[in-house]
Amino acid sequence: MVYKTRFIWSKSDFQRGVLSLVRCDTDGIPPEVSFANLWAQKIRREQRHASLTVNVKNTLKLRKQAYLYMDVGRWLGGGQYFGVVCGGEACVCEYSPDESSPGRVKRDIPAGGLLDQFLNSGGIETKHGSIIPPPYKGDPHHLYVIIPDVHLPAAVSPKDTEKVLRWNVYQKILQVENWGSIPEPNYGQKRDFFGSLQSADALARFLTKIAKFSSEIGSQLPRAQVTLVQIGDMYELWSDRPIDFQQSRRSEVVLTEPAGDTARTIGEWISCTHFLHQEIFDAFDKCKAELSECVFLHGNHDSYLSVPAVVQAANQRQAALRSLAERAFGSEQVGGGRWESHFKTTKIPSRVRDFHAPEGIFFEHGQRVDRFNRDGETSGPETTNAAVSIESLKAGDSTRRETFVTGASAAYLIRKCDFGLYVMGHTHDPQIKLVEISHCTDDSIPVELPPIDAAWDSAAANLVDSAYLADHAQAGR
Amino acid sequence: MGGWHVVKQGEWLTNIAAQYNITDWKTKIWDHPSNSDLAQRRDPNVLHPGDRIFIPEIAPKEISCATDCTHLFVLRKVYDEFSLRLLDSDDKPIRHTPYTLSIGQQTFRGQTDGSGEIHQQRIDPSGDHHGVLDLPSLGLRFAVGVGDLNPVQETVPRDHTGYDNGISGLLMRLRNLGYGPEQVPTHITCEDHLPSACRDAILTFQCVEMGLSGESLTGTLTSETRAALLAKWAS
Repeated sequence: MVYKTRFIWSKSDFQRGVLSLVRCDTDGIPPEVSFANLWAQKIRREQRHASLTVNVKNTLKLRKQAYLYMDVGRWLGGGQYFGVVCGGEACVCEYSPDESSPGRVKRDIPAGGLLDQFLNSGGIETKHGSIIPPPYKGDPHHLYVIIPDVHLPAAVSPKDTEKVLRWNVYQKILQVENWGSIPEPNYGQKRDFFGSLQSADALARFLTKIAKFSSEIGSQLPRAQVTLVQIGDMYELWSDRPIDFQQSRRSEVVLTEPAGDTARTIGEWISCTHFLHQEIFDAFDKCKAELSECVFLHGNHDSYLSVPAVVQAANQRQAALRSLAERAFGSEQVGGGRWESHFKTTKIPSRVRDFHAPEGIFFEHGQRVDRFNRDGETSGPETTNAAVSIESLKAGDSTRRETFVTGASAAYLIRKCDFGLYVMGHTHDPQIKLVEISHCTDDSIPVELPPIDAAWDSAAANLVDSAYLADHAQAGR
Repeated sequence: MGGWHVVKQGEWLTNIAAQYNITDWKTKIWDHPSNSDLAQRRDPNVLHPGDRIFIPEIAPKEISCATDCTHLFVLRKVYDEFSLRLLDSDDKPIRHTPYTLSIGQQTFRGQTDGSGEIHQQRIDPSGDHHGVLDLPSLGLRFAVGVGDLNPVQETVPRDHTGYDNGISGLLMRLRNLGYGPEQVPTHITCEDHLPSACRDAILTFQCVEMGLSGESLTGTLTSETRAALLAKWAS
């Protein structure tokens, strides 16, 4: 089963060699809402070559385009999914913290190679997998591990005594700073909207495993490279939090008080998350030290991180915690030891909106095509906060695959078909499917995508009605 | 006496026969004992550059005529047929679509029929047969080379400089089926020398048309891929 996306081009403009309207339509995808995007596009007519002969039947067929769509799912609520790409393969896997289990690899993977060694390193089960079509250029010596949405909150489980101690330490620091009263007597449980705490320890363990794998694999496979991509929504900064950005039609996060304390406040939220879950962020830091590359995207629930001032404020806050604790505790013992033993300062890396790997992989969180959750849209956090109180709202959410596959196809077109694999998170529903793309005019005559030439750039700049597509147009230059 | 003709790209048998003013190409050329080996291996309409065809010497035809009167001589003309099926990317025929087909000096206009096919029965085999198939409503133009299609069987001998083991013919069919590459080398001795664009085209065909995955997806012209490609071409 594959998904099919159809681009419907304006016939009247097509005949003049100028396409002014394009509409995305979809087929074979669970319907959600009617989805239409319009944008300006110029084309140049160019001929294809055909080798034919006489007295036998010849066949000419319109080109078919395809890319692989991978949703890496979620790392929360007991579901520890992640994505792996290596060579020509893309897989969605699930991690079991009990690494003594050998895991299960369901696909034919070349034995002894980098992918095989990683998938058989314990506790990993491949759930879905597929080959990646061109223009992806698979490198069997380069492994990509993609961490999906985590939604890690500034909260701890009441059963976790070590983290409850940290929670209390942090509250005392807040008091010293005059940040106000302690906001949550229940260890911030309302912020754990997606049940992320259930899978938090497994993430720390998994990241440590990746760092160890990367440091050791070089002795067996000297050419091996490992890249880690966190696909966004690493932090839960919406649930049970005020909305500190303005409604914007420009698909960007504008802080409520850009010159005021907003960045500092959000920096505190993030820094608190790092303090409470030091093991996870320490493991990320180990990955940064051991792996070839670590790339961090922002999602919608942590879209504040697209603002450099927030990242800066969060790091400043992390750096200041130690001296604040000195003031709060002095020589006082905490939890049977000195307070320093509860501190491990970790870094908050800057986030990017998307990432295009040179092999032909395009990564984005996926929120740009989501009208409720795109950057600068306040209805997303409003709904999240409403659902904190009204459980039935949470149940009403759906995967909306139609929207996301169509958006991925739009990205494929606007980005000049420069990837064979599209990777997103956002939905929490892991999936891999081939997407076939066809084109027709608005009177249903099948056509081909015209060759992409220099006119594409100027045309892409004229995108209308869709800020996220304009983002892709910028990125494609 | 006669002599050997070495096939060039774009030639087929009636085209070659026309160069020697031979109309009865089958009896005079194809069935000639010197061509029996080639005739077993080849379709006369799908020859490979470098194939050698024996052209027998044709004796002038003598006709007795009376003087002081006018005589009408009618030259028997041979025509070839051209047949083409147009499919969209989902293998559905592109029906009732206007086209203009220019082949050499000839131009044909019409619409594809209810099966998405174009039929032209009077293709003059003499001369050059490169041209254009224009499908304005599809915004599509093909540079067509009639006679350019290479066979999928290997050429002999193997040590000949123009040796091709059928790969160029397969890649041409792949291109006609919409999988590129735009440039197909005409003599390919070994798959190891394929440009990366050709490998990508094969890989995409295996992935999209054959539904292959894992190690069976090779990007090479395996026997299964050849069979699937030829079936798609001829289906």
